Amino acid sequence: MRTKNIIIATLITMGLVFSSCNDFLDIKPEEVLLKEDALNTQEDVQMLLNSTYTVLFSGSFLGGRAQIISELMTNNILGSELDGDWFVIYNRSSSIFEGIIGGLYSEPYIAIYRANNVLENLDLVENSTERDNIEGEARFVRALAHFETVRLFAQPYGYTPDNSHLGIPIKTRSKPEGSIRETVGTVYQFLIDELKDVEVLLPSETDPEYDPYGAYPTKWAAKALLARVYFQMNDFENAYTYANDIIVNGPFEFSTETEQYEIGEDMVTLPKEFIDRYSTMGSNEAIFKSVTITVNQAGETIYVNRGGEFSGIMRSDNSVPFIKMTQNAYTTGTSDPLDMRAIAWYDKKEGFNVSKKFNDTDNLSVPIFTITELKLIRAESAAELGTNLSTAIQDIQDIFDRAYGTGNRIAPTTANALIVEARNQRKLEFIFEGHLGQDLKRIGALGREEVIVRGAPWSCPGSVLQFPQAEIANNPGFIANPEGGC
Amino acid sequence: MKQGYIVHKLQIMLLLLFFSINAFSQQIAVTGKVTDAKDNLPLPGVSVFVKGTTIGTVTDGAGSFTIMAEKNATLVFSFIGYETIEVLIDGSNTSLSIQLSEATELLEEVVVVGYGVQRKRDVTGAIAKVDTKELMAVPTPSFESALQGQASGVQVITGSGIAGSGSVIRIRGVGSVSAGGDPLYVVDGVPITQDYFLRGNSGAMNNNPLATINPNDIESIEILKDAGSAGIYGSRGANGVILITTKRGKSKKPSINFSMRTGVVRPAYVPEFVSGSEYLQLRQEAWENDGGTGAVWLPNFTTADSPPEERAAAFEQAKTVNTNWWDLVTQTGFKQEYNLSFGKSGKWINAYFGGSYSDNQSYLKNNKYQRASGRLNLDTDFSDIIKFTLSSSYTYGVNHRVGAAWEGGTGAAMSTALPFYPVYNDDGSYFRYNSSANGGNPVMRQDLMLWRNFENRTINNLTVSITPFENFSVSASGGYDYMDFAEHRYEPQEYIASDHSGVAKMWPRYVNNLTGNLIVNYELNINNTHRFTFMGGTEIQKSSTAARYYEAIDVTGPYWDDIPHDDTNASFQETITKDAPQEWSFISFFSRVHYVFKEKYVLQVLARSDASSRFGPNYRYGFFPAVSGAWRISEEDFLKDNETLSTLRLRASYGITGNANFNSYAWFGTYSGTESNEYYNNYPIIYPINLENPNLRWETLHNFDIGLEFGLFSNRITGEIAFYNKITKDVIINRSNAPSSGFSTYWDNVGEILNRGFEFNLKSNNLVGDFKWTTNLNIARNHNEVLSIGDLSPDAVGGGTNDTRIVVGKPVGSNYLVRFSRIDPDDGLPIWLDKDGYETKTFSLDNRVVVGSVMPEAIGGITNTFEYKGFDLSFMFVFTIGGNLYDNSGKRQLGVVTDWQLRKEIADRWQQPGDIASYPKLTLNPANYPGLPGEWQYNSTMFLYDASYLRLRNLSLGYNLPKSLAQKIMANNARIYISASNLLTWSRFHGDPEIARDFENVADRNMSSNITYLTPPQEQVFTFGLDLSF
Repeated sequence: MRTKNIIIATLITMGLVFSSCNDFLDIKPEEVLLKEDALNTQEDVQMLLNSTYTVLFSGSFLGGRAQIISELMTNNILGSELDGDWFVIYNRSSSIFEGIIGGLYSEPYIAIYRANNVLENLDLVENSTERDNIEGEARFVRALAHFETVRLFAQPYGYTPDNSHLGIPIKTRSKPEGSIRETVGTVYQFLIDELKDVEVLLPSETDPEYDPYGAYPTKWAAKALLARVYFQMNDFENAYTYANDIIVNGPFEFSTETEQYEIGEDMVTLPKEFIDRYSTMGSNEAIFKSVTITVNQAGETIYVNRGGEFSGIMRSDNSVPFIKMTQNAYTTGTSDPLDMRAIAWYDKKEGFNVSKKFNDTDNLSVPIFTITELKLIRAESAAELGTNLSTAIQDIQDIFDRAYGTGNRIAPTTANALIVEARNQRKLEFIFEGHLGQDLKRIGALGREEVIVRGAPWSCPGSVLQFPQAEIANNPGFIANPEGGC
Repeated sequence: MKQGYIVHKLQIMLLLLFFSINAFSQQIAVTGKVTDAKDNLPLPGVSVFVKGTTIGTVTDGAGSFTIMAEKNATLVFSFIGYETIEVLIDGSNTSLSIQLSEATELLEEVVVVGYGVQRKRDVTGAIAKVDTKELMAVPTPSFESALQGQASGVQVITGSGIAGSGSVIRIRGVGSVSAGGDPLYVVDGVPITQDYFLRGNSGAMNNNPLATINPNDIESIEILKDAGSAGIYGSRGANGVILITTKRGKSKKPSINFSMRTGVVRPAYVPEFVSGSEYLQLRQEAWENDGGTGAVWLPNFTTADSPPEERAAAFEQAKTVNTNWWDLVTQTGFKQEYNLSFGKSGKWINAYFGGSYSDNQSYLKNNKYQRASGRLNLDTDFSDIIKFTLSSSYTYGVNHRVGAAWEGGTGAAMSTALPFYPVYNDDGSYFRYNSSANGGNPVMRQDLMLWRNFENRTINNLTVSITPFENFSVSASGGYDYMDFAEHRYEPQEYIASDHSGVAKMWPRYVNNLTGNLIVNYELNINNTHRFTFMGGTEIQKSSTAARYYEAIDVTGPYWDDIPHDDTNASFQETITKDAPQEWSFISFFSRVHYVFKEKYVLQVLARSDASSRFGPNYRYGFFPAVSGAWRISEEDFLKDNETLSTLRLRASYGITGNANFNSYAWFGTYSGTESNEYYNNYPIIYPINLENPNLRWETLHNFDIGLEFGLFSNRITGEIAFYNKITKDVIINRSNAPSSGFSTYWDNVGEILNRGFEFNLKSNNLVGDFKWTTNLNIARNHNEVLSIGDLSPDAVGGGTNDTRIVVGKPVGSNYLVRFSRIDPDDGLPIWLDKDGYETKTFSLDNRVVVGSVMPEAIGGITNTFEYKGFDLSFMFVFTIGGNLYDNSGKRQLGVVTDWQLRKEIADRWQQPGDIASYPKLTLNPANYPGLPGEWQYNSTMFLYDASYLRLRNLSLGYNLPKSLAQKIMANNARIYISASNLLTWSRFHGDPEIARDFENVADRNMSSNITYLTPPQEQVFTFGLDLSF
């Protein structure tokens, strides 16, 4: 009996010693959540979904870098004032080492990873409507991230007749595994399929109690993205359908309100949208934009800059910005004495041509889709198709009225002239916002005319960014882009 | 002896019977003189005592003594460093003449082996010992630098000339990539904190955790190189172990030592750049080559678009300025160091006290490292059964920092501080040439910015050892290593051009490192034929690092002055950020059995089992066994009486050790905590941070070693030749993930690395006698090869920032560059070699190939020492053979003309058709070298050099005052000396070939030695010193 007691006592002691040994060895990192504690409730899933937006709108991606790089592919930015990676990109000679490109490429895939993670944990959401909404949002974020990336790292849709040219990796699972580049055709098909589902999953408006600033995407955002995707594909029929649907059926209005602003010494009346498009509270006609305003952990209302890269290198009120405008772009933008956009957006600072679009605030809300863009898509698509010309004419007229003053300029009436004018207005409305770079590629891919940008064709290899070293090195068989040649 | 004893005993009893009147036994007065057998000089301070009693005395200045001893007692004469002599007092001689000879070092020496000591002849592992004399021969502020060239197979690269910088030490090659490759440092049994990245790469300098260890306190350093020796440290022994043992009170007579050193320091190399007018001329040439007209535009004065008159005016003005920035930021530095120590072995307690103060300026202006330290080592001796041992030290160090390398200072002088920039503007304000707030001007920074590191360090160990019965002891030991380290900066208003008074910043770090162990020792001796030593024990260790950041705005002084500020000032603001603590722990069990048969054959088996918080849950415990043996061939009958071969010993070992020096939380899958402040649209966010790896574990080293120790001519020549083979498996690589995976990095055990080599060392007493000449030579050759990196490609291994890669079949840290062929004499453009070796004029990073390696092929040192009549002269050469150096700043200093300085070699550039030149036609635009994406991508063999060098590391001339003179100042020994370090260097590199630059992280430290990027050269120091012992 005694031996038995001793044995039991020894075993218990050993057990205690071993368990305390295990405690001694059990040192967890602090101030972070362990994986097993992180995703357990619906709230956790929503917080993870919420985190995809901070990545999407980080300065390295849609908070400015993606747009500015598209703009670098035009003749709008003064190249001689650039240096480092920015110059290399402008020079269309990017290679595997540019850190700026590395950051740009990583961000969307982080957002995609988190979105996939959300999608894999949907079973934690009980209510089916809420589940649909969460699924829709995650897939929307995923689609948007893929789209903006394929436009930068691959030749545009239409570069080859069957779009068998290489695009980017498509990630639909969070499991870390190798990636290969899908063809651009596959990528665009993926986008369309995804967005058509998302269209149905998302509500037509978010609950104002839950989303007072309308930050989260709705079905209209999905449609807007589809419009843009189709337009990029030069699929004018679908582009028209979707753009029209949003303009006609959506709760958004083309913003024509005006207000008095102090420009220099004078008070000038300008359309509010010209000043608000990039501001703290953001565009008045955005279908989807980033929001700067939020409460913080302490319950205070704070503002966070969601356009960090724009503020960093394009803002011109505090100092001469790194990104300056070419004389050509400046002249084009300011040559029309009636154009109020010239007053709102163009300036000279210490002899340099700069943009005022991103001034007057430390916290920028970045618009992703605006009614203005959709109207121009609708107009150009209609003109391309030769149908609904009256709608197209009216769209152009609305843009004219806002920019030049009501009735001061008359919209053209022929299809060809409408196409020319739509492209022109797109160039003027979205100066420094990154639209022109992609538009030039689209027009080039359309194949009707020669598009030469700063002496090189739109499709020269260097006009597409090179993948970062880490992507190529970690994926055996990954085919990098050809470089240079521009 | 036995028989004689009995006889004498009888005699005494008879005598007692005869002289029973005498109550007391006869006491005899014995006198005599003790001299040194070598030179017949009297030996003062020799301890003379009657064996078995407390009766004792000490010889006086003339070596004489008088002592009362009982007849037939034994007198013992003992003196440190000499063979002890015993003399029987039989009454026949009462005036003795004793000659003491110096203890033969070799085989009676005791070697510290980790959790114990062994006699040198019983050691079965590969252990190199460096004693205090060798260590102190080279004056260095940080002790590990003095190990250079002293032990075969131990590569020591001294950090740059910045005060307080640390060395990179590699024992038998590099076996790791993303895990630490440094050996384990153990001070008096405590594995100390050795974090080189406590402050990352702040200010282009890594932390040196060994800077606070006072070299004067060190008794000996044992370097454990193989599994037979380092294996007892289990999962942490793979990179070798450096055991540091500090001094203890040993001599019965109090020994007091005082030493003083002063010196001056200059850089070992001064880089050569073009002057102001040369720079302008070269820039103008580049401008004209590019088709420019008029004067070239000058950075910070004009731009390419400036009108010609402006450019010309600026150019003319620039011609009048020639600032020598290097001179303005360097100086001749002064060094001084004082040490005082006291040691005594007493009746109850042995004590050693040491105190030291040093003030080491470097050749960088305003840069110095001051250190004050004290040590107390106590051993109790009052009982044979229980013993206490205390080793305790405290050091306070202050490092006055300056900019260097890419951070400014000399680095700016070698890069962006152009010679035509003035130091001051016409209005007296500092000239600023950098768009960042602090303007770039290194003189301004030197004058205005306050920057210091403060460190308090205490390393303590207390051991209680109980010997309940003979040959069996149990000891319990507790060690505590506490470090309180802080970097402080103060940037005043003028410096940062702010509208407030200035910004003070402080980054404190606190490290608590606790160790405890319990060890059982048992010795069993059967007839002197079978001698066993059993050791078994358990050890736990836990370390915890806390880090904070303090920043105060609108203050007029730094944090160390308590940030003076006006309390009523509204713009004063202070932020305090607390980092999450970093902790890790180990639990270990180990055992060692050492068996000696007939004092000739030795066999040792050891094993250790380690568990650590760092290891993933699937691999919690690791097991590390090793077996080793030795054979004293010279004791065999066929060699015993050999006249030539006095010692011949063969040893061999094979075992498995590990390396656990990696990020403590690497295996956890984590998400951002809910305390993270980020919110979007009124709601909080969480997101994944680290990808989980439950299989993450130690690196496993399979280590084979075999060595032959020999001694010739009564050990007048001794040496060792060894061969080793080390294969490290499960090499940890912090791989960079494909960005499309959503995670940038991931820790995994992926690779395999081989280190195989030979070591040879020789010590030869060439001449003995009045004129002595000793040569110490060691050379080691290591073959390092990456055997596998799993399925990763060379670019996928994250960490190297200097164009080095991990490539299978090549050494760790292979230079991966485009090969440069020549300059086309017709048009001055560079011609490269493509991947296949064909010439091409288009540069492309796709043409990079493995062209070199940062690993040397062989390293070693030769020291020749001459002694004559008290004078000693010693030359210590160190050398490296093979390997490559890459000058990462060369691409800007010798490349496209930009806003960087240009090196003098650029004079050999192409200027007109027909020129055969080393450098291409100058241009301001990288696009003019076809294919070059930008000036930063100019990665080619143009800047790759042979790393071989021979350096006269130390030259010293000393004089030991004769004892008679020394005694005039009451000293036993006095030595004065002068020495010069890094006096001469022969190499093919234009700069200092010994390079250990600032590293970004652990992998960089493994892969990027021998890469320089504006790294300050080594110090050249001239020292005068004085050593006194009382």
